[in-house]
Formats: sequence, C-alpha cells, structure tokens
Amino acid sequence: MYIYRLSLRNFRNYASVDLELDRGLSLFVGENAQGKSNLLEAIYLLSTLRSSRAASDADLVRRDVLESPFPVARLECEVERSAGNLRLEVAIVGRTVDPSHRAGKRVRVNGIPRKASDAVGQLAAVLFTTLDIGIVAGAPLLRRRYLDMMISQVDRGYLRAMQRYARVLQQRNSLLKRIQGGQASATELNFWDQELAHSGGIIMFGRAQALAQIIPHAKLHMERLSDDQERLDLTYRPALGGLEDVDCPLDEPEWIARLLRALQRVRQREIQQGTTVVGPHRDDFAVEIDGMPADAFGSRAQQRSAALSLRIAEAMYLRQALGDDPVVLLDDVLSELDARRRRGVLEILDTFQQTIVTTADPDRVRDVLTRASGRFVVIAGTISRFEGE
Amino acid sequence: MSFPAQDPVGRLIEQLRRLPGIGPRSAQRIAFHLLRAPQPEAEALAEAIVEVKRRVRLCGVCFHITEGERCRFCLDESRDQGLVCVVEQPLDVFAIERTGYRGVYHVLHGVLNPLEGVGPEQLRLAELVERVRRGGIREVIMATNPSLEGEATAMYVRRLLEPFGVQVTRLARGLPAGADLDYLDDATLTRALEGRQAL
Ligand SMILES: [Zn+2]
Repeated sequence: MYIYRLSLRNFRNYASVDLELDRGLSLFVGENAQGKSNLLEAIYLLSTLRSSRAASDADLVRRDVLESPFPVARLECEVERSAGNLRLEVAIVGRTVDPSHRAGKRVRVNGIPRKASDAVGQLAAVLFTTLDIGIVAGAPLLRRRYLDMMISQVDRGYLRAMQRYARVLQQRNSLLKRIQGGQASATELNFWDQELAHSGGIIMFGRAQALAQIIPHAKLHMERLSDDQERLDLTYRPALGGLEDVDCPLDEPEWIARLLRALQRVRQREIQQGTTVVGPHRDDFAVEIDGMPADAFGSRAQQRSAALSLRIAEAMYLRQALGDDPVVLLDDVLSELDARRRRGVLEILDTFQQTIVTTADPDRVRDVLTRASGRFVVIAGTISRFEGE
Repeated sequence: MSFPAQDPVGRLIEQLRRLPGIGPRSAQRIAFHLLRAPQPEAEALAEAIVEVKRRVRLCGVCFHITEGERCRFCLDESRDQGLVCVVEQPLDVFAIERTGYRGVYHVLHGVLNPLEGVGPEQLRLAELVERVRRGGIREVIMATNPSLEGEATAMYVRRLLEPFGVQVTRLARGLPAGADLDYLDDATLTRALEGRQAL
C-alpha cells in the first residue's frame, strides 16, 4: 500500500499541511525541531491510533489552538491498498470546553465513524527511529511494545485481548491487594484467574507465533547488515512462574491452560505481594548475538544492526500477514549508518511500495537523495517540494 | 467563583455536587436555575425528594424499591415465585419488565468491582443465598450487565449457589459487550432472556 495524500491541521507544530506523495522513496530534509519527526509520528498515529512518543492527546494539538474554542488536531490520509482504497480521518480533541464532550480521538474510515481500536492497522506502517536500539538493549517493556504494535496491526483478536487483559489485570491486582489486607477472600480470585488466563493466553500465543515468523527474517538481515555475518537469536521468554519451558509449539488453548496453571502455582506469592506476577505483562524475549546476550555483550554497532534487522523483519511480517506492503517510515536512522549498511537497508526497502525518510544531514546521505522520487524541505512547520540538489 | 459553605447557595451547590454525574459547574448551573425558578417549582422538587426518602424503601425480600414491606412483584401470586432474575440495580427491573417476564427479582445494588472496593459484602448476596437456602426457587437467572464486572458477579453467584442444586442461568451471549441493560432495546433483551443458558 502507499499514501498518496496526507493532510494535517493543527497537529504538533503544523498549522496546515497538504502533501501529495508518490510510490518509492520520499525524502524530507530539515534541521532538528522543524517538524520532520512530527510528520512521521502523524503517519504512524494514523496506522496505530497511538502516539509513537507516548504523548497525551493534548500534546498532539498545536499549542496556539489549545486554548481556542476548537482545540482539535486533524489528520487525514488517502491510501491505495490491494484490499481497496482507504480514506482515514482522525480528529484529536486536546481539551474540552464543554464538560459534556469527551476529549480523545474521533476516527472515520472511508467516511464512516469507527472506534479507534477498529481502525488500527487499516493503514499498515513500520517506524524506524534512532531509539530502536532500546528493543535490543533496553527494558523488556520496549520489546513487548515492539511485538504488540506489530501484531495488533494485523490481528484484531490480539488487540481485543490486550484491551481486555489490561482491565482484568487492574481488577485482579486490586483484588489481590484487598485479599492481602484481609478485606476479601481468595475464592473471589477464581473468575479473574480464568479471565486473565484467557486473554493472557491469547496474547502469549500471538507473541510466540509472531516471533516464530520474524526470526528467519531477522537472522537473515542481521547476517547481511553486520560486518562478520553475526548470528542473531531471538527466544520468547513468557512469564509463567516456572512453567515457561515450551519444547514444542503450543496452540492457543494450551497457552491459556498453561497460564491458568501458572496462576494457581504462584497464588500464595501473588497474595503476599498484592500483585499479579505471571502473565504477558511480564513477558520478554531474549536477544543474543553470536550466542551472547546482546544488551550486556553486544557492541553499539551490533546492537544497532540487530535493531534494524528487527524492524526490517517487522516490515516483512506485516507484508506476509497482509498480502500488501506496509508503509515504511525512517526517522533520521540512515545518517548513523555507514555507506555499506545504508545501501543494504535501501536495497531491501526498494522492494516496498513506499518509504518515507527524514534526515537532518542530506550531505551524509547523498545516495538517498539521488534515489528519492519526491524531495521535500521542512522548515518551522511548513513543507515544500524541492528539485535537484 | 466559590461560595462559603455556610451560605445557603453554597450549601445547595455542595449538596448538588454529591450527585452522580454532576461536576462543580453543573452544580452551579442547577443552583442558579433553582434560584430563578418560581417558588412552587422549587418546592415541588424539594417535596419530591423528601417524599421519596420517606415513603420509598427496599423490599424485604428482593431489595427492589417499594413503598410497602414487600414490592408488588414479590406480592403478586400470579407471578412465578420459583424463578428469580438477579439484576444490578432497580432500573434493570424496569428493563426486564418490558420483555413480559413473569418471574420475580433480586436486586444486588451493584456488581463485584475490586478497583472500586466493592466486594461480596457490599452487595445483597448473603440475602440471595438465604432466599435460595429457604427453598422454593427453581432457577436463578443472572441478568447482570455483559461487562467484565457483570460477568465476574455472575460467575461468583454461580459458585455461591452450587451447594443448593438450584439451576443458575445467564442471559444469552451476543449482547453488545459493555452494554447497559437499561439501554438495550426490548427485542434484544427479550431474545437474551429467552436464549439464556446454564452457567
Ligand atoms: Zn420484592
């Protein structure tokens, strides 16, 4: 798929932008803090309906209008897809003047109002940023988020399970605290155990499956991108309180049953601690380079190559699951690569219908400049086309 | 702008703010509306509130709202007293009534909600168990909302009633998740009631 039209109104530092885009590579050049990342954030938000920078809705609305009677940001795109063309509109209400109105997002898909969660993945996208190294070297939360953002774009049931899981977890943790404090009895846990195991098992099954699919892609691209054909290994580490050894692939009911058994095993500990200690909110996956943990033993360059490989694998996964290309977004990641790796990445991305690249340093990426089918310059929230050098 | 709490207007605003769904601004608006309203209109409201507190209480059997000792459903000999529909709140009784249901009720006055600190003791659950224990009840229909908390409550009641051999059923699946019973249209609710399944 590819975006052929994009409009932003009062989003971040953009008052009003209307862009026509082409297939192939579009390059956006601009100094820092002019709005390059905001542009990619807008596209990624149209895909996931969430801010990639964990910002609140009010942060997304341009400051100048936040105090006005209409503190609303509007994002709109038109997309050519193999599954039929798409017009996607998102309005973000930053602040409510009338308390009877709700702050938040309003979404229309082809003109029809939809719940935000039903619009996730209508536009499929992968976002590469300089912070991706965190997937390899950072906290487990970043690896879970990597999987969740990827899977929920193609699997509605997974997204629903995540939403239900979050609510069940909150209720169950409150109940555990009440049991710990003697205000409730352990028999009240039964329902919440079953619900937690059910939606949690769906999530674990989804993660195990997705990892199995991305591993071959990630391995292949790590070999290509690294200097010495380094080997990348990814291993799912589900949080199952001692029952995590999985020698053969489990199906969904087996994951649910296993999580339920884990909950029963750790019940006393959970009551003592007043919180849920097993389940997908504590999951992780191990990243190893040449057999060594990548966070502790990998060099910065190795970690960066591994992170790039994971993002490329994500793009491949989405392509496979959708039978259509996701839009690939690269936020200032090419300038930190040497020419050989950059060429390697660009060769892969050339196979995707649309790649949107930002850079602060066009001289360092002249090879990208020559490949671009559309070139734009971003200055203080305005975007204009430029030709030639 | 704020009024001292001892000021009559300030007191009224304070009282209005305690009502569910009323924020500080709405409380002010209502207070000033009442201030401008003709004397009989304001007095009618005040009387209605006093009256409801003096005359309306909870039925000693099913905890639905009533004016007497027992509600009209518990007193009605022509209704099936062996069939008990368990609901979250009195409003749900009116919703179920519109389907032509001919059994009786049990109003829990809430659902299990650990986050809000609502456990079994805060609900009319012991009274339900006592009703079933005394006998004469054939089936208990769990008509709590199709929300997570409504489901949790239904499952909990099923376990509570297990020792008594009474049949516990649940409204048919297919109700929109998270819907409120009193907002559902009658046809949907009738179908859910007729298609109820063993829990
Ligand atoms: Zn009654």
